[in-house]
Amino acid sequence: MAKKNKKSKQSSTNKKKQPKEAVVEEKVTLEAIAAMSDSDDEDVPESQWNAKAKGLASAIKSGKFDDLLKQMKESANDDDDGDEMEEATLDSSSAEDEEVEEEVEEVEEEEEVEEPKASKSAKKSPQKASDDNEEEVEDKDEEEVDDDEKEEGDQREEEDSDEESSEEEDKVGNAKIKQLRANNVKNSKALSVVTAELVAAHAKLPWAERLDIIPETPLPFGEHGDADANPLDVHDDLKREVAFYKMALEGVNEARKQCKKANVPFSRPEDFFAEMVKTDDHMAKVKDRLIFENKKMEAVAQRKTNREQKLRAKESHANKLAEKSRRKKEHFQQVEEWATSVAKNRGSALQDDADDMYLNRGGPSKKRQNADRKFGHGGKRGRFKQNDPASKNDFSGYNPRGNFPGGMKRTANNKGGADRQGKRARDASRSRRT
Amino acid sequence: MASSDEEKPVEEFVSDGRYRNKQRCLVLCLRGATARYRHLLEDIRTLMPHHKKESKLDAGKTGVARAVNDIAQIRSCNSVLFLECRKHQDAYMWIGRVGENAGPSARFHLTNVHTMDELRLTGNCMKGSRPLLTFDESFGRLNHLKPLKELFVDVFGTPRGHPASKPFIDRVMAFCYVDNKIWVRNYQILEKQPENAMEAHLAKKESGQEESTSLVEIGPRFVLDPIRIFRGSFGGQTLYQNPNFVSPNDVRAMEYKRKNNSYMHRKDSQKRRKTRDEELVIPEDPLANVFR
Repeated sequence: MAKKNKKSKQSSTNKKKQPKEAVVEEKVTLEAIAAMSDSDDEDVPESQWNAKAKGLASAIKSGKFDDLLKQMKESANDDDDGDEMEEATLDSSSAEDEEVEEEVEEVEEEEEVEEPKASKSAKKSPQKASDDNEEEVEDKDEEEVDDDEKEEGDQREEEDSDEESSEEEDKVGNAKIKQLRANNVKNSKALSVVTAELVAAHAKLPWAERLDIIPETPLPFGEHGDADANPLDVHDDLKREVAFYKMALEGVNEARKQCKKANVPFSRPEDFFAEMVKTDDHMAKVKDRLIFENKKMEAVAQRKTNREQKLRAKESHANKLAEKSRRKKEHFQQVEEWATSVAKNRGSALQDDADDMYLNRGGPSKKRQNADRKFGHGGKRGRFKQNDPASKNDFSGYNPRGNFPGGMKRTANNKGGADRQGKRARDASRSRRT
Repeated sequence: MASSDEEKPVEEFVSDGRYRNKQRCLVLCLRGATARYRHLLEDIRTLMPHHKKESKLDAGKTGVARAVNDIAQIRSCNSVLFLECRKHQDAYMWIGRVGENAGPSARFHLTNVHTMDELRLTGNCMKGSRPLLTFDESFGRLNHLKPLKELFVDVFGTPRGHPASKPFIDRVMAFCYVDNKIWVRNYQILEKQPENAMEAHLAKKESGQEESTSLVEIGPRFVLDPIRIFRGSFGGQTLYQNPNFVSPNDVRAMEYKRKNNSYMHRKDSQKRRKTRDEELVIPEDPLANVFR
């Protein structure tokens, strides 16, 4: 951990000098850095720097760190020595990341071994500390106050909805989030330094080596949603994918132009054959599935239309029947009306037989009606004598004593016997009469 | 290692379509990764011709970070994509630079994985073709996404002129930062050449170019939830830690707790109701018997 101490020393010594310079110049130059840094580490000639250091130097020359200075002036919180902060972060981290902490230590041990890196970091450190201390403190306080207010608001909202028991946990969680945010703010400078390094390393490569594109149109989620309509819901799969698709397409169209400029061949000619990522077998499966799905959809649609057609046919048939009956009814009503009107005109006395015949008004004569009642009228002949399953076992009409007036009558004193006397008794009574 | 570099004179980077930018990415996973994540890793390997394959890592006592860094050094890789699977369900993806210019590295929680094998994804592309990397606008705006973008360029971008790469561009990778997560999609670029001059003219009038472009998804698709960005490879100063990240362990614990709580609440309310009913005394109504 010797490196750390060195660094902190440097930064503490540098602090007093820097603010003025930064204010005056607003630009980072190698000379300025050299002037700012301690004379402890001997200056290595430029030819002996490693690739990273060279990249950094070129980045400094090209003014990549200038806006960093400005940013730092604006940015609220700074840490004088980022390494102490690092430890704080790690302490506050969750138990899950214990392993990571071990790794951190390992890596740091490795770093100590590398001398050139140390010299490079010495060059970097002065930039870090180029801020007013007082400003920092004030800004920090303000921000913390803001955070507190926000968090209180959050808690209030949560209290309404949540159970009492979980409140404490929320507080703990909020405190953790707050700390993480604070740490992020503190580490933002280191983050921007690392980013600048990376960007500088990539800036050496021409675009044709990187092929990265950032389309201008923001994704229509969150605050970037349409001004009038509400922003897209992330969890709406279809819309989300469409948004991604559009972004990618915009990127492609932009990239095509750049490719043309950089002389990178873009579209594949028809006669260029190459191995594909997905094999032909796989693509055949994909195709089969597509066809299958299409068929499935068609079948479902067919079934649906069939069902609908059936329903419609039924309905139309019912309509037709109703229409027919309605017409019939109407017809008879008209005839009736005509008949009554005719009857009214002529009077009831002057009724004609012909009219009767046409109109069926009187019906059959009384004699005919009686005859009908007696002998039956119409219907199938002879069938009425046949049995059917219901009547087969029905003996209600059967009387063993005869079903006629002269049959054996049941009386109180003659149970079951007939009223007629026996043969001898009848002869005797006859002889008595004579 | 560094001394050899210092002796060489600096030469300007020449981009002449030959293999100059020697990016090599170590792609490996921790032992115990489930099938889905293994397939994802396999997909990533097929898409990245500049990958170096390594068998599943069993770190042992040395620690994962040391082991991965060592392997990367042996295989002369300068970036690494490392997948660790915990509890057979939670996958974490590490992406970082290793070797001479070690760091930064980032750890993500990997979710919503769909591999290329899924039959819904109908796109296809040349094996080893160089991808366009499209980044959402927030990658240029948010500070913690800027280094991630550079890392993605290193890891997923195929170096120009790589022997196994193809000279034409027929796929695009989209990185979208939505809902505090990075959604990664991989599309094929489909170009429809105009059949006659009339069509070409119309297309040019409409979109400014003759070909009408459309995209078809190839896969794999996944979502990366950033957890931390480290200064070194697999460790070092924390540059950024996502305050919104909730570990899946916590989510599960909360779920268990909620279930547990529901039982306790039910029992508690039952008890309360009972005591209330017992203690409740109905006041006598003086007018109750008036109309009897």
